[in-house]
Amino acid sequence: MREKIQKISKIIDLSYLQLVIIFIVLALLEALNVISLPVDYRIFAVVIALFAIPTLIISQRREGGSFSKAMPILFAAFLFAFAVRVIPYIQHPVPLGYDPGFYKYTFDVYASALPSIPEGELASWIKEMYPQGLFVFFDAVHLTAGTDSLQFMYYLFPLIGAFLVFPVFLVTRNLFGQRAGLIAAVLYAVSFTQFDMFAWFYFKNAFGLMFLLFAIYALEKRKHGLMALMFAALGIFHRPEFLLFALILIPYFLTHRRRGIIYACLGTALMILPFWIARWDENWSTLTGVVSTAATNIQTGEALGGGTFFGFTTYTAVALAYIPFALIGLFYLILRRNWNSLFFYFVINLVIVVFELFFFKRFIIPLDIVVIILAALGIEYGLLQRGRVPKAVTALVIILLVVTAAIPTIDSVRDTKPLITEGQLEAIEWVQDVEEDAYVLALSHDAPWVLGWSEHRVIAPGLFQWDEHTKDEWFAFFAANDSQSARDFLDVYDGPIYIYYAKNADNCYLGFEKFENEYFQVVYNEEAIIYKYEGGD
Amino acid sequence: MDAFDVVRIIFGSIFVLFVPGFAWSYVFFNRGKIDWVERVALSFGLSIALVPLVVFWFNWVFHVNISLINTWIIVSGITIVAIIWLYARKRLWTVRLAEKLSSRTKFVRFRK
Repeated sequence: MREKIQKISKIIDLSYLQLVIIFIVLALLEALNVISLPVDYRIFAVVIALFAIPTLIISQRREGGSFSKAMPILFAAFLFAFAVRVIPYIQHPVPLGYDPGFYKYTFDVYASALPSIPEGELASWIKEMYPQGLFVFFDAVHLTAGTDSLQFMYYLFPLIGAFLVFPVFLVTRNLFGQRAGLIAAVLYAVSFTQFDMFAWFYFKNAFGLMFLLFAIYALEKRKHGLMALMFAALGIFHRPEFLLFALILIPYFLTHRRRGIIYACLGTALMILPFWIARWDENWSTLTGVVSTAATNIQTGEALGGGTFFGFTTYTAVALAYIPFALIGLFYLILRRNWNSLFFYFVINLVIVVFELFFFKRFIIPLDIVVIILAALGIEYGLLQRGRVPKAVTALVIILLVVTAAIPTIDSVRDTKPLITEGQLEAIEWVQDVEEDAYVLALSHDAPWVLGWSEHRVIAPGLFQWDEHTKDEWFAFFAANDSQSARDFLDVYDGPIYIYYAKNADNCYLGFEKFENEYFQVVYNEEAIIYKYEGGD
Repeated sequence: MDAFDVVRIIFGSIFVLFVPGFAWSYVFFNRGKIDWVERVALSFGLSIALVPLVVFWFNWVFHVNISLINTWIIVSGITIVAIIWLYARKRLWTVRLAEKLSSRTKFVRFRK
């Protein structure tokens, strides 16, 4: 019986490398659009991971490569990550994503409130969307370096995005050795998911990932003071990742029972106390909202409150090249009973995403980070530490894997465009010079841009503090063709109103007939059209 | 953007984004405990974590205005606290080492 098991194990072990090569080649062909693989193909990833088990059982940890030899690869990964984030800005000077306008407006509000922090005057949507950390940090940089909000966004975001190569490297190296660290750094640099986070302009997300990784690094190094600081930074920069780390700490503490973790958590609570007290209502409503969304999603099966990002099925397609290795890495941790923080990080994050509990699409971003780290571990123990395989073969497999993962990213770098054109941004900036007490009406597609760049109060459906209409009133306004209905809708506001519309916007639901009369004048008409309404007398 | 602005951006950014974290990295990891990549990366992370925390605390607890001079003092203060900490720790070690050495010397003398 034992001999039979050994024989089967040998057959599985011999088949494993061939399967890996077939899988990578097919994934590469799919990335190049030569073939189209069915969704069921992803089961192949699980099969490969299962076939790796005999290899994992016998593998021993051996350190690979010197520190000085690792540096060029690490810096090449940093430069690649930086280049892919800068190239879209060379092609188009307008920021990418939907959020830059929200950020620019909030940075400008904080800068104009100096020397105070405008906590009391902030609109509730800002308090709900943006914790104070990033904006207080902006104040400090703005005062000492003299950078304005645009410079801060343009320079710092690509840099932070590329800088994450280092925390990824450090966390992986600390737990699984230098070679695994390097592989993780390279996979991070070419990751489509991480580039897409950049393309959506999830600025505070990038800071959140940095602090999350440093907090894990500190936790595993048993530096509880450092962990407390990074945990506190998570709490004031990015709440979803703060919640994720808090959830990681619970099982970690139960398995490791280190008193230092309790002290660190108390220290964190003390450090973030003023930030959270100042926004107690908003934070409490966010927390209850998260719990009730999770409960509703579990009970009804509805996937509510996922956030704006691609879903899990798309993720398994874009990360297809390294998913089998992440599973191998996971099996390695389970076989070795290595219950470290990354294991809990993976399990908790995966549960949130797969069971669509709350904010589950946005949680794909931190999930990708842990998948990358586990994939590096899988490559290290499933390929590199495996004897009897020529080095050239393993090197070829790793190169193919990195290229396969990089193809969607490079395609995306080439194709990514801002949501509005330069001409439309110029039209918004034209509004800066109109009457100070004027409002600008914009559709939700353009509203963040108008908010950030027009320097005026913005009326938009369901957005910002100046919207005084219900959803039904907005629908009636869109559908109306007569000027009287439009005027009644706009007369709620005192002062002139500029109606901004970007001409190439998709799904135009704003009928223009109602503006073609003596009450509305066209004051700007290029890539965007702007009507002026003087107000009812 | 003139030359002064460029110089201000470079030095101002280093001052806020790197210097306080660099000093504090020695509080958490002694010299030689981590390599330079680790220290540089940690310095950035620590600075970005420490500066807003301390600035907000000073503004909230002591009602300190966030002006250029106050920010400069706060960032310098964060750095100086780390340096004092390191100096005190070094002194403490020196005293402990001296005590250890003197007790060993006494023991050797006693044996002789």
